[in-house]
Amino acid sequence: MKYRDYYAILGVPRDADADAIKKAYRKLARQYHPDVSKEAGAEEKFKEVAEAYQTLSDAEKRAAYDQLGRHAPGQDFRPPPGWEQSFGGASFGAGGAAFDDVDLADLFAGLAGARGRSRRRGQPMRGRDFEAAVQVTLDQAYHGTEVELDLSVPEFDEDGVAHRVGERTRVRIPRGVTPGQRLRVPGKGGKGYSGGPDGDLYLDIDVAPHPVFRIDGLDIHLDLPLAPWEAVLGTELDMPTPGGKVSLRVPAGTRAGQQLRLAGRGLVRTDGKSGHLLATVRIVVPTVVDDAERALWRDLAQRSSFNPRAALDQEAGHGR
Amino acid sequence: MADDVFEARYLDEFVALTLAQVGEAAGLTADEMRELIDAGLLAPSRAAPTAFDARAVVVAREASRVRREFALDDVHSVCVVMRLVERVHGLERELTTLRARLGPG
Repeated sequence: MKYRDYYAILGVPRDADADAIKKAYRKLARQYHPDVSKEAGAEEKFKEVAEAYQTLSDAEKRAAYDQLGRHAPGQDFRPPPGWEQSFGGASFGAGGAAFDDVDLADLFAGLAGARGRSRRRGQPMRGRDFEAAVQVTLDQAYHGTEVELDLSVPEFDEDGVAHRVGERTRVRIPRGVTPGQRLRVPGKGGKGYSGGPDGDLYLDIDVAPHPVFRIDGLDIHLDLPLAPWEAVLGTELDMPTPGGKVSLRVPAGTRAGQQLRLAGRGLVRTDGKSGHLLATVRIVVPTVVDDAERALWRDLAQRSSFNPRAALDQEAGHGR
Repeated sequence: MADDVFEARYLDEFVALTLAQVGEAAGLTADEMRELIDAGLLAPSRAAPTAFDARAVVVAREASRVRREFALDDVHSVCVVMRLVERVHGLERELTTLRARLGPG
């Protein structure tokens, strides 16, 4: 178990009172909390500060922490003899509880008063909820997928000491998930205590960027390049969608920036809610033309009375 | 263990939770839960007036997190912070929408 100097992290002396500790923490939280700070390393710094405050703000945890003694930050250490009997809650087996796989932050979690409530042995209590971040591809988000999660979770032994254990869980992600969405896996959180229900596992979904499609809620956007003659004359083309190609009729006179909507071709949830596919027209011109093509373009330029800047000329000349 | 596959569910899928169950999941007392309802941050499910869905758990946990992480003493301050964070998330969603519509470059 590695030592962390919580007093140094908060920038307070070891005899600081509760108000001074709270004031120091609030100042650091305002500076490093990820909801208010985007500076590099802020999230990690906040986690460190929050862990220190969680221990030092609780009288029992602070007493237990002080009794661990002083060590160099990062130093491997074990609680002094007798610490377990004073703060572990019950007698430990010969040789003491194993602390090699215990994190300092979890060491105090089993104390009475942990999690803001007192716990009497034998009282049923719901297990903790866990959270995990999951990234899927757009294809996986569209069709649904199964993912295997490797979680490092605290498991409390009968003496209330938390040990980090690896847990592998296979989860089916339903189709139609969107970036930033949160899903719940019932009963896959921490074990309940004394017959209480198990907690839940919450998944924060992220969808990896796609080279063609862009997600907005359940809607999917893409750019649809058209040649000038396709936009003027109209055309029928094969439109790529996450669910496969579909035939799209482009009406004559389609303008640049216009959105063509394919209803129901966005993401589709298992409960039937669906978005649309929205194709934004971009007129693209050939940049390499041979002599014959150039002649055709010159002919069209001479024959056509179309003025793309008519509105612009009118607006610029307004009021004269 | 890894052979079993567990279903991840949408939060707005109807799950009839009581106020006590939501509070327990979020680590909040019944009085604190009622304060969140009075402040308009929590509401019963539209499907059943005395039950709450899983989104209520997320909101209650968020309130608990904000209070803990900013060391706030009262629910009023929690509500102010949550409304501001909600506004930031709304702006970020608008930005995502605009980027999706405009495309790269």
